[in-house]
Amino acid sequence: MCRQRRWRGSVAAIVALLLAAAGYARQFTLDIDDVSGAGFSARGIRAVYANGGVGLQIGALTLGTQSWKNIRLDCAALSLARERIACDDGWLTVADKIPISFSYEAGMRVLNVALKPGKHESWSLILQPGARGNDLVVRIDGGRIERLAAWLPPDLPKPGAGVVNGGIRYGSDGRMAATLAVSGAAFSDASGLHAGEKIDLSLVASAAPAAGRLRWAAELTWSGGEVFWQPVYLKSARQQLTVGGTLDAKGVRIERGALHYPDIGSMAFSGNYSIDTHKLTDGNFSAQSIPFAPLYQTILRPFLADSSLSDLHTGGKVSAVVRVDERGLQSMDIRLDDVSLEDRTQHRFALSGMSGSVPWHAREQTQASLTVAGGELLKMPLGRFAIALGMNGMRFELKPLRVPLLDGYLDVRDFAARAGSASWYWQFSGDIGGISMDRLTAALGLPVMHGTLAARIPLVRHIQSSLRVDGVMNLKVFDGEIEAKNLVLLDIFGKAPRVRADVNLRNLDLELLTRTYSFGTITGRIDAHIGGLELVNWQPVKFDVKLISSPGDYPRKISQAAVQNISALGGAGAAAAIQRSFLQFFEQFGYDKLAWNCKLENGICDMSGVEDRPPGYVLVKGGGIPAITVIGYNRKVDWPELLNRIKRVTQGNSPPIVK
Amino acid sequence: MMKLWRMFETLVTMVMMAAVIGASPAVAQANLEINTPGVAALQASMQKRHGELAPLYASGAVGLTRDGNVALRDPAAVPLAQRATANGLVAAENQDRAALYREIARANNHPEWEGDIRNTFAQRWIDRAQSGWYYQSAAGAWVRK
Repeated sequence: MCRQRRWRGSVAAIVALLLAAAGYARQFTLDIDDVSGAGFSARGIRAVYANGGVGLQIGALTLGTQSWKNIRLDCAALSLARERIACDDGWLTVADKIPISFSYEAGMRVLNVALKPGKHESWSLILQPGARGNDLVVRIDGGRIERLAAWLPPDLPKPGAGVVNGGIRYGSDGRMAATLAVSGAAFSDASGLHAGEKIDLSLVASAAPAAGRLRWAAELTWSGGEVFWQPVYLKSARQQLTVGGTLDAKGVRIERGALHYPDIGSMAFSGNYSIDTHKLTDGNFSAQSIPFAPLYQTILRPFLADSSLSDLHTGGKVSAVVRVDERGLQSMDIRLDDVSLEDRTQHRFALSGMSGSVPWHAREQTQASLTVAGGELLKMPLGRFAIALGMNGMRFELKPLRVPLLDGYLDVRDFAARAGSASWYWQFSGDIGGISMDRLTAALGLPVMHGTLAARIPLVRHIQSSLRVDGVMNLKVFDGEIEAKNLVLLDIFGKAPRVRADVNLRNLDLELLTRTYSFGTITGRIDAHIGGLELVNWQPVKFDVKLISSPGDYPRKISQAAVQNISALGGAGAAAAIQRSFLQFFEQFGYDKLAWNCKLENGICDMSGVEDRPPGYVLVKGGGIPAITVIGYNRKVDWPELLNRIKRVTQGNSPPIVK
Repeated sequence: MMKLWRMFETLVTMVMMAAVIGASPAVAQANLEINTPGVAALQASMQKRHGELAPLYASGAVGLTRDGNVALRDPAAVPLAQRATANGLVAAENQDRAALYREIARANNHPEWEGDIRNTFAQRWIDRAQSGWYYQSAAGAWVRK
């Protein structure tokens, strides 16, 4: 403390003293062990004056967090006069040898130091008497920004190219003013994921002491270049940051901040930053009526890459008020005004006319309410619906929701989501009802089917990347019922989603089903059990299917075309035993039972039918008049080949041939 | 495209051999199942991406790592505006590669083979790389082929 106070005098005074003393002697040596002050220390100082030249050596110098060793200042020709001490041609050695000139006007008490470390580059410092002591003026002309690298915290990207011009004035009355212009600047970290190039910036800043604090203001304009800060890429568009506030020993207070981003809008902010904890202790951000399309495109989209929201057409406006404190995000009040989202390339979903508010709070229970004017899900039109979402921190619960879907509805119940440590957990159950198959199949681009669709969705849980269905998923279609049990979907949003399930079909109306395809008509009903169904990328890789006529009393008829097509499935080499004589006379035949079993494994389907009839097996067992029996002979068939045949037959490319 | 496909076929043969060598005599009889819809989906996805990755391999921006992945080894070779895309391509490719190794192991009912399959693929990706592309040596250093 005592030493600090003793050496607090200005550097200029020390230099003047030394040089003035030297004026009376031909050779002079001064050794000082240690000098220190606030944020500054120098050890092993030796000044030598000999033969009209001066040499100053500092063993170790510390300024702030930076340290240097063996600094030398040499001036071969020191001009010494009563009123003026000057060195026009000196060298400063700090790792590199830098040309330096300095002068001290004793009468005016003005110290002038100029460093010229590079061509067209100078850093000069003028210390002159001011109102309450010395004023300091720093002038930078063509200063290379890379020289600042050593002064920056090591975790920040390193500056590369670029120059700075401008001046900083620090008055003895505590007032400070700076005008700096950076041009052609570049920076990058080692990974290249935080980098900027050809950056032009201008900064105008000022500060003045006020009631024990420093009141400051700054305006930063970004007028050229580009920045990539993973994952966001920004181009300069004269974005402007205007900030004003106060500074004291405890922290920085931003009283009024504004970020203006041309084409997007403006954001106002204020807050406090603690110097002790290096944390934002309080921050408020507010942006009103921001057009959603440029906001999505510039800022949000990079964060959504690889998600289903990565390529959207967007519209509408959003407003947000966000508050943070030292614990993190505290509240986020978002308002949507006629916002629309549309999956641009894959057309999986679209929502239009979304309006309402989402007043999220980290520690309070709140409710979001949104109305959606309409939209599309997998090309099926959605009607108007309203969402009421209960929010409590990172837990969300949806009030029962009915979404009009085609001419029916989708009910979502028990929707709850919460953020886990690594991923989200969510669940829901629901119903689909009143949807006509005609409209559904038309919307999905499938061959037109008839009847109505209803489905019960039991509790579906999303855990990590899998979906598990507790209970039985039930689908009413083709006047029958389809049940899926033990349904598990793994890696659901990956490239090769896997599905496992056991599926039962009961009492499906074959006529509704076969009428859809140009397969020929089969009247009757079927049951099926598909055990151990395994799909990868929505294609079956394993199952054991047993398809058989439903029990009960109902008409059983099969058309000539259907018989031909079933036979064709056996392949060219698989002759079906058809009672040919009848074929010429009848359009329809009676049957007693039909069955088809296929056990799929490793791409091979192992088939059987109603019963064995060596060397074949009965696919359709005749009954009534006229009766028909279809026999299959191929027991093993390559699954992709069978699919191809079914495709050919159902697309009607091979019309039935009646011999 | 065809080149990539042939490369894939070679890899498959090689993985089969590796699996056969590494397996017990009883398992050695079994073929390594590779023609599954899962593998096909991943392969299609990787093939589609290859067109975008190829110039990055050629410029040295992206290289093949010794653990069967790809890495952005020289980001400065990619203009800033395309750096997010390049980074995204690398991440997506690595995701697919991990899924491919896992899927091949799983399709053969030997999930424990995943590590071996990855190692074998790593070496073959490097062997089949075009000259001028960068790969990581066993010691981890980047080498230009």
